Amino acid sequence: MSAVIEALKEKAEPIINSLIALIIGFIGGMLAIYVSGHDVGQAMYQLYIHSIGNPFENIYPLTVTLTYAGPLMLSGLAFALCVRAGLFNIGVEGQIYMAALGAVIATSIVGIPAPLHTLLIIASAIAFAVAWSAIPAALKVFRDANEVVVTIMLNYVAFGFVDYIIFRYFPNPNDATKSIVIPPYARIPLLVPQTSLSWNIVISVVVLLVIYFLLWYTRPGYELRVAGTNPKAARYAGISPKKAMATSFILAGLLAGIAGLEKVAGLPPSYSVMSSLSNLQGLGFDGIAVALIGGNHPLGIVFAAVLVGALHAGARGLNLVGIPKEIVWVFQGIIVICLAVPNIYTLIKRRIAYLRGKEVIKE
Amino acid sequence: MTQPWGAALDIIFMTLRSMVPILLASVGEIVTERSGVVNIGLEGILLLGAFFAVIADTATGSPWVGVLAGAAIGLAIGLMHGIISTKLKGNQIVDTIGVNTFALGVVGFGIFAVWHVWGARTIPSSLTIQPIYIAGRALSPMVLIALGIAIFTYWWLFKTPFGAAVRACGEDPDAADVVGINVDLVRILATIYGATLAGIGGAYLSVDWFAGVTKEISAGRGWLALANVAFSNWNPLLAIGGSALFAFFDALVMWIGPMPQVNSIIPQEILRTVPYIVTIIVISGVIKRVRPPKALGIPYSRE
Repeated sequence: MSAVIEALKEKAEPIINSLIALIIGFIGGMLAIYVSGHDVGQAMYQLYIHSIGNPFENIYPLTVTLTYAGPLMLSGLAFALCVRAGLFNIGVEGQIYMAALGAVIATSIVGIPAPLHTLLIIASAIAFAVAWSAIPAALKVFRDANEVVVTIMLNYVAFGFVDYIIFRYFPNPNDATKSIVIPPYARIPLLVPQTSLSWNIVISVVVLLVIYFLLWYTRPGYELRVAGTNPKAARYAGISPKKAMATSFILAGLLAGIAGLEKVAGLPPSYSVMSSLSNLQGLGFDGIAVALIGGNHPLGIVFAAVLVGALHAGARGLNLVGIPKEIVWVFQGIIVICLAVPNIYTLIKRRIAYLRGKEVIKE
Repeated sequence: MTQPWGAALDIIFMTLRSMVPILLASVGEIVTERSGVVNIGLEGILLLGAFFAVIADTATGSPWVGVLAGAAIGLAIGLMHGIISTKLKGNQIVDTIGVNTFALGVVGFGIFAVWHVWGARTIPSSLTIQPIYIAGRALSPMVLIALGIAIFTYWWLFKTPFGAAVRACGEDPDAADVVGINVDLVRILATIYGATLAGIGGAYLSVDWFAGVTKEISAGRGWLALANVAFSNWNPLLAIGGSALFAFFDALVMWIGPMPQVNSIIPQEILRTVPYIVTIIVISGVIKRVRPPKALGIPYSRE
């Protein structure tokens, strides 16, 4: 019996660690709000009513949270997948820009039947993102180039090219702040009418479950994870870590492609790319926080994406009381820093025991 | 611009100016990595340094106090990262990703919270570091300071016992431990040194070069510095050349970017990506031949 409890405790530890990091992150964020002279209670209230509120009376705040959560699940999963293969892929951000470019270019093609055009838009978005992801994959595999630096640089390059090409060649003739819009038949339909919540969230969860299945219940998935956790052992077992790296990069590109598509084709009212890519910016970076909060596990990522989505939804409320939305990154940054410390729970437990003088600690 | 010599001098001076933050951040990171710790939070530290330097500068009226404030925030982040990387055996990549996110948040939020403006705060030129004049052109004293720090760091890292201890911790921490070096302490100090220099580099951006702070002021220079560390083969003297190369492309883009005859061929948006493309080419073309410190990124624990 006690063995069962021990096993459960072991399973629960990562969750407790995440919770502690979240608490510290919230304390830090509230401290920043306090230092800046705002009313912390009022700010937290705004954060709450704009992200959750009372769902039985008004479901709208919750739909906003889930609207943010959909693409975040995919960008988070894209990062997590690479971590599982032993890579820090910071390039999801740029791949999402590329997906948007692919979607817009395909949209500009006229004179083909609606179903075919829709397929073309989807294929083009995904192909652009995967192609962009293939660059760091190739440089890592063939040249052993540091993937962190390469992907960050590619993000800057992608931003310059995508922003320029879209607004030079595909601007919206009626509205200078956005690109041409995705045609109505190619849009991802709404899930809840009169809100911004589309089928994005369902698509994301399904994709996530598929990846979960692939990683945990198939041989290639198992090989990818082994290659990431122990490349030496993998090589002895005939698994190629390089192949695992390339696979994870390409899959991440695919996920980024779908995430970008969701942002462009599944988010009312714009259904386009906004100037300075403002409706795409940050999705890839926020995915990193989502992945880490979710323990780089597909099921954890579902919850983490909803949580970060709630932060973003709530930040709209903070804007109303004069607090810039960037405050969300103060929360996220502190959370991620805390998550870097392994077994933060055990550390705190030991420290408390030590302070009480009950246990002598051996380093 | 009509005389070729004048144009060449212009480019050289612009390169020197662009070089400072990249050089300071890479020289610091070289020491950090030589001790066995990696810090990918340079970009965030530059940003935080720039922000806090302006706060201290406007409060006291002295840009040098601003530089101190930049150094102080770098020191604080370095201390935290040093402890997480050693005593707490944390994941060094993850916590510094957190530092970058935190910096984006603090600066984006802080600029509005402190000055009630969106995204950018400028300071009068009287509050910036006053330049010295050479060949009729303005040159920031920070250029000389940064070059001095790079040379000093080289001497310190390769010619003194403390430098030897730093390198031992990065190459073979077990052996360092056996000869009585406190590996964790050396690593924490080396991480503090690196982050402090990055903080000074950030202060230079705001209280010297750009006379103000924006949310995007670091513009990838922390990442260029990180690329430069490997490009320079973890050598502070070579880092001067590496920084000059990265800065040259930065300067070149700024110099030819606004020219109409250039713009008709390549738009500015595309031109601005050139330094980043050069970085990708450099680190995938050159870096195969260099070798990082053996124990880089691995927390040390006694067996």
